[in-house]
Amino acid sequence: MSISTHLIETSHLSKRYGNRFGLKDADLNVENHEIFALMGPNGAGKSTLLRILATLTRPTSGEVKIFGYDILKQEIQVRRLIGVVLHHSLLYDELSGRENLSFYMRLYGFRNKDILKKSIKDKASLFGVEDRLDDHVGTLSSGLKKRFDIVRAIIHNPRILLLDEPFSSLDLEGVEHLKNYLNWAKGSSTIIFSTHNLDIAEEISDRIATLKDSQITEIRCIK
Amino acid sequence: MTKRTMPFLSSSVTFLEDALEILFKDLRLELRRGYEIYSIMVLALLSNLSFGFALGIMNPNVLEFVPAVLWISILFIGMLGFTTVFVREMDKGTIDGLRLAPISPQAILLGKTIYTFMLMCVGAVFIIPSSMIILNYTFRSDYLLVILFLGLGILNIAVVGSMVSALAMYSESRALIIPALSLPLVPGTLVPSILATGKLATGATIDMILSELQLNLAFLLLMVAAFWITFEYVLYD
Repeated sequence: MSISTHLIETSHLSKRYGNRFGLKDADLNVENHEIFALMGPNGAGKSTLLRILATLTRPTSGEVKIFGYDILKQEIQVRRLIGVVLHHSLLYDELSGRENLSFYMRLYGFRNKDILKKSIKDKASLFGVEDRLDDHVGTLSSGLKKRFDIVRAIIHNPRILLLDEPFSSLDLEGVEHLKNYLNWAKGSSTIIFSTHNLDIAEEISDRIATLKDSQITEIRCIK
Repeated sequence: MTKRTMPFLSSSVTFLEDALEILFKDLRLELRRGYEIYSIMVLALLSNLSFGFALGIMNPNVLEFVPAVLWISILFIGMLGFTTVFVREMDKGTIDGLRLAPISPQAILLGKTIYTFMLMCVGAVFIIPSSMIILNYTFRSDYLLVILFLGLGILNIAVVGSMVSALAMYSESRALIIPALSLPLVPGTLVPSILATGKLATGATIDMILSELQLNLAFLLLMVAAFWITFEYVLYD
């Protein structure tokens, strides 16, 4: 691992979809233990940026380093470090919350039953879903499903959290759980999230980047 | 020596554990849903009855048709199974969960291929005995040899099917793409399988089906090598 002054560094990052840019020339540095918000209208490039950082979308040009790892060449190392919440749920409807979380934890190499059990219970209780662990995910409301999706993303104690509109679908209680968690997780993790809610972004973020027409137009410090 | 071999062994064990996690998850999902299992059972019964009525239950030339009938039914059963193996993950969005996991892409392919193979074996367990009853024939060769050869043919179709399903998952015209991509690949294993199955029904020994066996093994190695190299690009690009 090479020495890096920033936890996440992007340089001239672009993504083209045919003739259209999904993201254009994005330069971004995010520091350790920072909460970084991405704001902007629909189609501004927030999700594209998050998907590239999550190694789900390959950029057309530019470079990205996370913890010094090149995401195009060392994606497995990067995937160990990140937890990701996307617009859509990554949970299997036919499995219970516990089975889903156990499956994903095992993919991250956690195979000790006691550790699995304790970690699932502890993380679920952070979001108030410990009583619903044995319900099939397909039977849950969209808000509860979202909470389980967030628990899935944090289940392996990631060093970086990439959250694409994590507050959508959540009720007030869910929003409070997430805000409390993010403030607590900041001590050990770095968080990048997208939102349309300026109040939330200003309340919990250290910096806010505004995207428009696939470009980062402004980065401002809040705290 | 130990230092050189242990990391390899450790990563191989992890690779297999990851593949098994994918397999067990898919089996658990299938046991909860039962879509594929039930449709495979119904198709197996339907194809045997159809061929039974078409060829005549007491047809004295039944052994001429049985190998083709059997493999066509197995192929269609496979189509039912492998069409959904990646496509459902794509439709539900859960494919991103697998792509985000810090595991080898080939472990995902292996898990999915074993799942497809097991699903097809369940179908074969229904289709072969029921066709033996309905079409009134029996395998005269050693049953272990029959099982091994049929298993190899089914594995070949499962390997091709899993990869084709992965290739087609991004397309909206999957119903066209899956059979179209399978068409040039499947005959490579289907033809020797049909020929050898005919011989096995008349009491052939392993020496008598050696060329078909070699062809099927070569097909398996070729497909596994090709898909092993390319699957990462299929999954992520």
